Amino acid sequence: MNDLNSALRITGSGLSANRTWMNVISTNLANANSVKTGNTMPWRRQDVEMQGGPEGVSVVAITQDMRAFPSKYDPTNPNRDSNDNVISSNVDPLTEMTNMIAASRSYEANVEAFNTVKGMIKSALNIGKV
Amino acid sequence: MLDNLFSPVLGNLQSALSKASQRQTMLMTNIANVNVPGYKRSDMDFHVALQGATHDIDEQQIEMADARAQRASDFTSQRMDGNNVDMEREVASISETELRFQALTDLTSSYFSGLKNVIREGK
Repeated sequence: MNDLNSALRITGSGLSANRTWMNVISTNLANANSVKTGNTMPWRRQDVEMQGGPEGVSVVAITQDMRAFPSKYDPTNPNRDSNDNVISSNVDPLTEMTNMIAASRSYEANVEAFNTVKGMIKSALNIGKV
Repeated sequence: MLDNLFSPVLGNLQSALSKASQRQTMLMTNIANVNVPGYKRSDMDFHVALQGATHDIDEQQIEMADARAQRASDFTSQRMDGNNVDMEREVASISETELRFQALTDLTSSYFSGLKNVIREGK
């Protein structure tokens, strides 16, 4: 039964890593339209760094995307700078959406794997019932 | 006399069950690591492992078969990030292992109920 319990623990680590990823994606999407206001910079896109092995998977770091903030010419925007440009966040909603699908699918795969192991443990417990 | 009752059928069933759950743990690890760049899937050769459980084949032979299965999967990266977890393959193997495990628990159950039947003299 020890092996099956560690299988449960490993799928659990997969679930929590994917949920962390999903949180980061949601934060990026929520801040996608932020712009530079005064001295406050717009939202810098974040990414997760996953590391795994035979003991399961974990998010080791949440990294900052250091790509430059795009600027757009918008002379009527109250947040424009001296050149009439608006500095906006470097989040690309399309990238976030595709990452979101990947994260949610692998979360589902882990749930499915968890249920499979649960069924196996149940059937092992039923051996005693003669 | 009790030793004759419980061996060797029960011992074989037990080691087969433990092999099945070991393999399942490996496959679960593959699923959990599906998004880790550079991760290589792990698997075991169930057939040879089971032969080792029932016949006298040496540890070395099992290790070699496992290494072969491992090497075969090391060179099958289809993705840019070097990860070679193949979701369809994992899910199919998981279903297979689950069914195998269920069959084994059923067999163990029926072995015990047969034993009980004998003890009760068929009453």
